[in-house]
Amino acid sequence: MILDNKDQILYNGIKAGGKDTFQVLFEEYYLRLVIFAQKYLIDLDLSREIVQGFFVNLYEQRETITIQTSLKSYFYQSIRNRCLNVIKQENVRLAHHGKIRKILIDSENDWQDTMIESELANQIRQIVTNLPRKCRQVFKMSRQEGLSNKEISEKLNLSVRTVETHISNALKVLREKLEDYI
Amino acid sequence: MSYYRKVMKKKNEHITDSLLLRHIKGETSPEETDKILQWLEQDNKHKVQLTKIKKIWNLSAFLSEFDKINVRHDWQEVQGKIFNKEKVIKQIPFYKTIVYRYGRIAASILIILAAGIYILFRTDLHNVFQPMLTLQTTAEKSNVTLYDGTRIYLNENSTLDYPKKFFGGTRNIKISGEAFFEVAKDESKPFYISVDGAMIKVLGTSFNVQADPSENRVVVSVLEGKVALYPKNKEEMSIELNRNEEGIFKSDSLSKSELRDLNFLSWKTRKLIFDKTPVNEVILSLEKHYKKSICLENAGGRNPMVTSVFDDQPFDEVLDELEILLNISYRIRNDTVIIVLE
Repeated sequence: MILDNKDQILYNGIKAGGKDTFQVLFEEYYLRLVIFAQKYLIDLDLSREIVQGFFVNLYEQRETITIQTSLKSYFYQSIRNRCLNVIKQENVRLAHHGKIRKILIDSENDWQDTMIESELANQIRQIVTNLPRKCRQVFKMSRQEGLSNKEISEKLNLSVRTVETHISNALKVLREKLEDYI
Repeated sequence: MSYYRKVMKKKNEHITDSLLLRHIKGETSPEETDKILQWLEQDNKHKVQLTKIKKIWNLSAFLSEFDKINVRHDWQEVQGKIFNKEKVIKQIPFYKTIVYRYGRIAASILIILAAGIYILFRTDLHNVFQPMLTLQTTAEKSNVTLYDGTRIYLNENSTLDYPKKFFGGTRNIKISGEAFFEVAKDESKPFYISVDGAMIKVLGTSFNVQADPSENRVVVSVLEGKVALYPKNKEEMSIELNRNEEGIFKSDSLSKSELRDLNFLSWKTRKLIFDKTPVNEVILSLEKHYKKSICLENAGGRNPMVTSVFDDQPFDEVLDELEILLNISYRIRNDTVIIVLE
């Protein structure tokens, strides 16, 4: 078993069925696993349902499961399997109606890439959450609302230069913290 | 050369991350675009920088997806499904089958009957009324005062399940790992501790419980008062443990001895006390307290006594003190401390 110290403690916690352990795991992994599932299923609510089902199942099966990889890989792999099952079932249903959609089965490499992407997206989320308030606000407006620097400067009553500085700062922090990953 | 560098630096000053981002978004003027293209040609590093910003920008698209998910809300749902499941399963069949057919009165009689039968056949009946609270420690110790005033100190990597309130004629809790108890006195309501395969019955006292599932062993060390230790569901096999006695439950058999190791509580008091203790026993206590592996090389075959108190001291200091006290030397190899008796 390739479990590091933190994983080992969490693994023991899973086995013991401790509520705190499950809450910690949920808070740590839920968002990224939903984002990951969404890449297969597109639909957000369905993705949430799949990941929630996984956690309930993890609790119910805690005594019998064995985890051979890191917890992270185990979680992603389980979600991937669940998503592929959903897609297969959906295709069976569609086939009944005379419509056949190609079954999406991604290769080993592809799904690893998808996992890495979800991990990076999650890291970006964490870094952005910890940015200073104004800096975070400007960056999110620029990215999420697709506003130009000028539009942001008008909305927030800042100079264009200040907006640019905030965005540069946000990018600088992101680049530094993600140095080893991108 | 230095002039050239200065010029380069001045030129680069205009290529900020923010400008590159505007380039990615297609918001730059033709002059700015030209400037960026030139800058890209200058150095491969510049291309890498642009690629990185592009990647960050693309992945940041997920920020709005993350914002749509409410982790706290979803945890409440999952938690409900996981930890209140027992309750739900038991209620739904009653509701659907009986209430529908025979109406409210018949149903309530049946529910009361069912609850009665259920209680009769279940020992830890507080579970019926409310979910258990769980206190779990990993790297840190913790403690809790229960509803009846009982104090429980939980060592690292241990779990305690307890009800918010005690109902009925008993007080039942469950632990794994190691804990020290100061049980509030209430002779009308015995206090039961379920630990691995063993049960401990208490009237009011303080004692330590150490469960070691890997060895299938539970050790109960009594500091004050009186407790009974027995295998689960076999109270007739019970042994009584008094002050300064230690009971060991191992693979369904019970034994009892004098409490020899004064340091069984060191995890709680952070104090190690040795009073003319042979050095080999000192080493066992140190290993347990500091979670280190210690090996004794004893060529001369002597086993000197140690009399000392270590009060929450770092391991290194303890070793240094022993070095002076006992005329020993020590070295550390891998994770093992090797102590050599001269």
